Amino acid sequence: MADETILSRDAALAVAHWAGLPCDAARAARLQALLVAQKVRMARMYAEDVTGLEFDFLAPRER
Amino acid sequence: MREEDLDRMTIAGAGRAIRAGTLSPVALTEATLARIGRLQPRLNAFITVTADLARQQAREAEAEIAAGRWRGPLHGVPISLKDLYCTRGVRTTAGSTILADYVPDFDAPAAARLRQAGAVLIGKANMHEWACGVTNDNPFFGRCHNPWKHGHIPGGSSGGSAAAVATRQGLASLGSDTGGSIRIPAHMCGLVGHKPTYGLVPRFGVFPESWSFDHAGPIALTAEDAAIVLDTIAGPDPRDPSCLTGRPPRALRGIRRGVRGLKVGVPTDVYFDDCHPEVAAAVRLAIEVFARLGAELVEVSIPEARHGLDLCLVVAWAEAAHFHRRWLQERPGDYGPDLVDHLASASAYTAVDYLQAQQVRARVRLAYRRLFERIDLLLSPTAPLPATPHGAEEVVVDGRPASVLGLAAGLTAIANATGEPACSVPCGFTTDGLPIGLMVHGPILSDPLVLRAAHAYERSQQWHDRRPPAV
Repeated sequence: MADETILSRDAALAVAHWAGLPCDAARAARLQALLVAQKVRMARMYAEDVTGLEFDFLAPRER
Repeated sequence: MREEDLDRMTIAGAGRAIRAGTLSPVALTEATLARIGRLQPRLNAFITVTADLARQQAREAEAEIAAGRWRGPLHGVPISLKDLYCTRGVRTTAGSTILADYVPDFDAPAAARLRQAGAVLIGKANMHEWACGVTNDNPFFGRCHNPWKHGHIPGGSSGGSAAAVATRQGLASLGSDTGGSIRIPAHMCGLVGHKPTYGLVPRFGVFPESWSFDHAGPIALTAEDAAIVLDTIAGPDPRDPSCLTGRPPRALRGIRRGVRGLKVGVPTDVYFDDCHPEVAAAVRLAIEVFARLGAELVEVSIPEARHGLDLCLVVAWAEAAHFHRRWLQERPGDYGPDLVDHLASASAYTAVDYLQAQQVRARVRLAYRRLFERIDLLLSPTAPLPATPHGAEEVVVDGRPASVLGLAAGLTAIANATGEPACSVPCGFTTDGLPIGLMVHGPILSDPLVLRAAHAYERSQQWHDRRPPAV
């Protein structure tokens, strides 16, 4: 998702279809807004430099 | 006893009186049930009231204590549980119609420990559907109202727990906290809410929102009461592999040692951004009180705090979407309209997205670990806004619309990402009479220190003595 530059209404329809949800225009609009917000959120996450943190993530948490 | 006698009562005080024989658990339970009978139509703090069970447990407690077998400060004291704690023989719904008829045949370990301590279960508290939100506007069991202002949210997701405790419908409750769901309702209802260190309290038998963000903990009238409950429910259980092993730290012991000499961090960035001016003013005054109590204030910059909400909304919601995936596909009509869309959209996060967020989370954890090498505790607003009206999904901050969920959980979610303990303690009221909470945040396993600081502050003020208009 983070590599996409365009998020169409079709993305919302696809998510609704996957989830088995009936999808009228109102739901498609709500889902599209949520998916756009997620895309923006992930852009902030991908902007972070996490080099070198792989081992910290995998290591047991300190007590 | 009269129903109004409840209004000065805490667990510590009631426990002493019960032990001394000057307070009857049966009378206390009857007064509590009378109050529930009066307030439930207005506040809707409960999904299930367990009156018969409570009366039976109160009678057993009274007989045991009379026979010299006092179990501790919770013996004979009425408490409630958020309705996502499995309770043997008592319906457990998680605020969802999917579980409307689910009656577990076991107690969650935390619930079992309260039962073993002799607590009287007064009911199962209302909550946001599946704990996924902060308004407690439950589509199946109805809205829970804030006892300080009817028509306003109590906060959530443990909103019923907070509304109940604030009005002495039980003297404490167990909540759960994924992005702030114990501390936000404590802040909005004028209570102490403690999110323990991750793994300190077993979550087996507690319906999850997110395995890696969920915490179980107390909502109470005072820090001392929160410590009593935490000491009762903390400790490993083999059925929860995320539990910390070994003997848990004791919170009640040493709670009166004060804050003199502690290094207390005061954030210079993020935490006061978008803050309601009355909330910011009350919190800054509270921080000054810590200085007068002998703590050393240290200004700290912690820009990583800005990731708290994003981490919660990616990691916790992705984990929630995973938990709900089958019901979401098979029974979408059994979810409230807002939740079903959020869960469906969260299903679209990719594995790569999730891993990137977990690595950012590691970075945030590292930043806070380093921060707590320089200071003992961090003080901040619990949330930047007080309780909002039911139905208001957005508020205007600095002329811009901002989501209530995003604002409410933005600061609390950090400690869910790091697993560190954090507590909300009342520190004032807005001019509209809405409570404001101060958040005390500490390093891993510093729960006793966090509650000790909350206790020291609380004892120097009278905020916890105020009673909500709903009473």
